[in-house]
Amino acid sequence: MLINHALGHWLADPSAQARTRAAMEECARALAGMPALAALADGLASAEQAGAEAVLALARSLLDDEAAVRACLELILAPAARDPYFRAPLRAVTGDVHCGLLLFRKPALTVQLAVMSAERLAEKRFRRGDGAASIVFTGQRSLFRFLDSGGATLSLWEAPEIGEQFSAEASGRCRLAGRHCLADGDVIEIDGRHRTFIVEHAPRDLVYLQATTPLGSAPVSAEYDSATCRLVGASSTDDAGSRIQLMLTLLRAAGRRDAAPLFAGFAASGPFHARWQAMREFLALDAEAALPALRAMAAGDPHSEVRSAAGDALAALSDLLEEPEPCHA
Amino acid sequence: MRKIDMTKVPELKTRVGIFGSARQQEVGGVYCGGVVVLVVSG
Repeated sequence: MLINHALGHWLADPSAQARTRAAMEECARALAGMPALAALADGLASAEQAGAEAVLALARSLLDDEAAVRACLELILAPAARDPYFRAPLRAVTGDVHCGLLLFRKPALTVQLAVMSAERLAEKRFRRGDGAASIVFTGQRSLFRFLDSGGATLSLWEAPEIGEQFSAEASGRCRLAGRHCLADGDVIEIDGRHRTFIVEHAPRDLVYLQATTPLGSAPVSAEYDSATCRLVGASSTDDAGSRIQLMLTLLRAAGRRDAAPLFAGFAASGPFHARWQAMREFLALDAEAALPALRAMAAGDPHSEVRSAAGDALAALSDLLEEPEPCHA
Repeated sequence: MRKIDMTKVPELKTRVGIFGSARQQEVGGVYCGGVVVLVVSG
């Protein structure tokens, strides 16, 4: 790391660092006290009870309040102008083509203020050339408000709804549902279970607010190939669930048979793919202990592919499990 | 206790990746707009 003169001074001056920290703490307090953000926090619990629509309706109160968003930015920009080492006390979110700040962050709702770079979008397309690309249906519900449309044109896409019974076989094709020339202030709700958009053309950067709730989300997000419009892949919409899967793999690899009730629990709850993955790990951990749950799964799991896989596994393993254990004496 | 080879246990026909995984690059829409927090700092 190259340390320039000013940074060197700041690193050698504990009082300067303390002033920077104090400014960040003060900014965090001021942001939490902003009426628009405080109203979101206060109303979230009851909106959450009512479901995703109510949560997005609550978020709309902030999305529509440009003065409040501007006030949030001013709280950040003023100390940043005074102190180059000041950092906004908000989570930064960056992706291939966008960067933003999470103005509000709770499990049931996030609101980010972001910029999508026209240059990076163009560069991404140039690099991709004729290579395969996907149209992604996130499985989650979002509300966008474009503060600066960037003169962009969106294409809107639809696909069969991703539900608890989602399967690759029945995923059909996505289809173009229309195009929309964005204007400043446009609000677009995207139900990622069956709708999405693509930025087709953007002469300038887009500045937007995006509220997203995981409430009522689909078990998976789905990627459709942009050329064939057919499904190319799915991935979990549940961050914690994916971490649990990795932990079950670790427990199985460590031979932790004492954790068998955990495996049984996860094989009986959660989204279809996570249930089956938990069962596979359970079988590899202790097949005899897993057998009753496997039989129950084959007989009555709500997802047809899980029932079928459990039935196949039962047939394949029954003979093996009924054989006497080999004698190693 | 019986140990079985996990590769003998069938997988679902519908393969599902972990959260945030993708098979192909996105054309440029909601996903890259930031529903999935790819890199978080601060």
